[in-house]
Amino acid sequence: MNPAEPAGEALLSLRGVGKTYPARARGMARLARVVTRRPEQDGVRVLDGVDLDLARGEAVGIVGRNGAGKSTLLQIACGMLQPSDGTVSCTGRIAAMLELGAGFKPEFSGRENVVLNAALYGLDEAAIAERLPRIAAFADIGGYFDRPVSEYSSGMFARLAFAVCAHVDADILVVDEVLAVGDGAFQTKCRRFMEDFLTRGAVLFVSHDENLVLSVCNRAIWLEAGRPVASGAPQEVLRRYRHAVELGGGDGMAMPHAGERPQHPPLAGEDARRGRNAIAVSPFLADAPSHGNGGAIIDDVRFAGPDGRRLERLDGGETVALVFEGRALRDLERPIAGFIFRDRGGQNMFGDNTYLAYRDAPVAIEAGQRFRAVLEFDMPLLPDGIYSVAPSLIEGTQRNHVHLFWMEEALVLTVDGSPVSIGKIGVPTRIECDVLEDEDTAARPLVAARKSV
Amino acid sequence: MGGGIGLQAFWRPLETLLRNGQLYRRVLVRDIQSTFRGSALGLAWIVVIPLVLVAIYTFVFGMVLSSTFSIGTRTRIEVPLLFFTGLTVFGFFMEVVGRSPNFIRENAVYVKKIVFPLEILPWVLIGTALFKFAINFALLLVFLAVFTGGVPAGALMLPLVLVPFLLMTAGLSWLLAAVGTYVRDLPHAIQALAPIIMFISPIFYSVQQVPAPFATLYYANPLTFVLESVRGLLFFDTAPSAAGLLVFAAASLLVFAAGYAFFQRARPGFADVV
Repeated sequence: MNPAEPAGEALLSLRGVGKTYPARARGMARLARVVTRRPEQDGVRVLDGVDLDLARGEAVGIVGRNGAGKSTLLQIACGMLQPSDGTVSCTGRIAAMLELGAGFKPEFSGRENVVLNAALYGLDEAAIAERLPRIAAFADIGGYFDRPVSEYSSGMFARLAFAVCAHVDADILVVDEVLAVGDGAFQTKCRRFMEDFLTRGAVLFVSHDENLVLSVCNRAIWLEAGRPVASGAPQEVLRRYRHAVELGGGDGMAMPHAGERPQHPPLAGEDARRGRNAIAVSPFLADAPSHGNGGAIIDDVRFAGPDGRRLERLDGGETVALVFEGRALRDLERPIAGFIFRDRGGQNMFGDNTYLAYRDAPVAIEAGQRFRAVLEFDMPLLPDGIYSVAPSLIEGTQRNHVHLFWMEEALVLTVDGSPVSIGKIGVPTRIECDVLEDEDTAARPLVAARKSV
Repeated sequence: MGGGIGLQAFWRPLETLLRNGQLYRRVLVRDIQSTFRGSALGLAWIVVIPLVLVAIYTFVFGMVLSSTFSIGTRTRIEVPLLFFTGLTVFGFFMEVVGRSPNFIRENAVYVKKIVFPLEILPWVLIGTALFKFAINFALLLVFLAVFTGGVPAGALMLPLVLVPFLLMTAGLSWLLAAVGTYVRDLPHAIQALAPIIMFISPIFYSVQQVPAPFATLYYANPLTFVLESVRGLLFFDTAPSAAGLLVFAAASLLVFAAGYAFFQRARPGFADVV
């Protein structure tokens, strides 16, 4: 990592910050450990060796996948969480926006919540009284300002919450993915506020909105499994991050989870055939999370064309062959190969296995032997998004079996350009409309003309 | 705690209250409002609840069990007032002690999402309970004036008892809040203990009615001293001894400072466990 030199004196400075969440979550023993200030011995390492300097006028964006430690880093920067190692020094006043409307109580009015929230952000009575009209104007929610917050829409809630944050006296704004709310006009307002704020303070924020990172940040830091992988100019850091995400590689995390993936067009230009459902397929992700009792390993999964070669591009609606190969580590009497096709939320969309086809004549594999299973199916039309294939090898029957080897995300598929407008999958639909005359309705063929999608 | 108790250890818990005065007031008002917002009777519940309790206890202890305070109760009305006094003091203590173990977790947002002086949260509990206490105590003085023809001059000595009592309760609140944040059994344990504490505290009887070997033991319960002193001052023209006041004040200050120090010590780990 290469921490870029800050322009001026650092308002906030992190040196070698690491965080280990204790393995034992609570209880008397934990309390004793904290009170006697014994260091943590074991636990989950979520942050490791992070350096960061933030000077006035600077905006630093943190990018990385879910679980990469971004939010933990922000909490440490704000002083809510104690780092396990390293030091945090802060000379400025921090306003933390880790959750929009944190501390809002639904049964109280917008005005009452604003007053308390402003006090929480450190404003005194005079300042609150003076800013209240400005906050109300910024939030722009009209008469709802004096209605209980429980009656608000989520958009109104966000506007009000952000309005408070925008009017507190802070040197450093720490923002966790909260600006992606509200309508376009409000977003513009937020962005303008950020730019204005940067003339007097500094911003540290986490966002999945690449455009926001690019337009606001002077620097970006990419965290991967708690460690800074890259730091520097946002364009460069984002390029590398995007590249890693597309490969699905990185540090053994195959696929980002819901809401995590930045927008990217792997199929840009050349293949934007209208009406087609272009699907990009990642290489086999050997490092994807897997489990099983070790009776076998799967060492390659691919979509293959008629010649058996790996396909990097598929089309929804066409017949595809999912091929997986592997090796038995012991004698397997009744192995079953299968797969589950999932969407980015981890929902199972469809899947199949070899059980029924080979039920009466199971193929046994000897220890050390290689095997290959091919499952051919019609790829459905898919909406834009990210999907994954989880291949598995089990032994036994469908109902009673042991997992030999199960991979979570062996292949990641990206759909960009889809005819599907409603729902989770698309089905070719023939469409016909007609004005019906009275008597001859029954006589007509139901489908007179076809228009294929 | 933390390398001996210097004078600072007593000052720090007050200093944070002064430093965060405006914020404290806002959070306190919010806490009081939260309790009653949306209920039809609103703040009236503060008075209604103890009055109903007094009625019930007067019926059970006064009429069914016909127990009386051993020393010179003069009018019939004094028994319910004595119960009311005891319940008001006990109510203050139990409200703080009962709410403390869960209070940090209930306000997890102050731990994890906002930079907040967590150490004032027990002060919030004290403030809310004190607000209710003050209303009930004012009511008590009014009753006393109406039914006995005046408030005794001894009432002026009440702060000597009540201020240390408040500090001790605050100290316990810090301790229980810190432990309860880590140990989830504590709120349940306190809930189970509450009726026990109520009956082993001299609320419906005087410590003088307690058989000899136990009476001394009773003074291990800090509520005993408070209850006896308050009732003595208001009803029986007896003042607590100077030695008693001194010991109680010293013990209270110790609990106050130690509770706070313990809370501050345990606090860095809160974010990991809430």
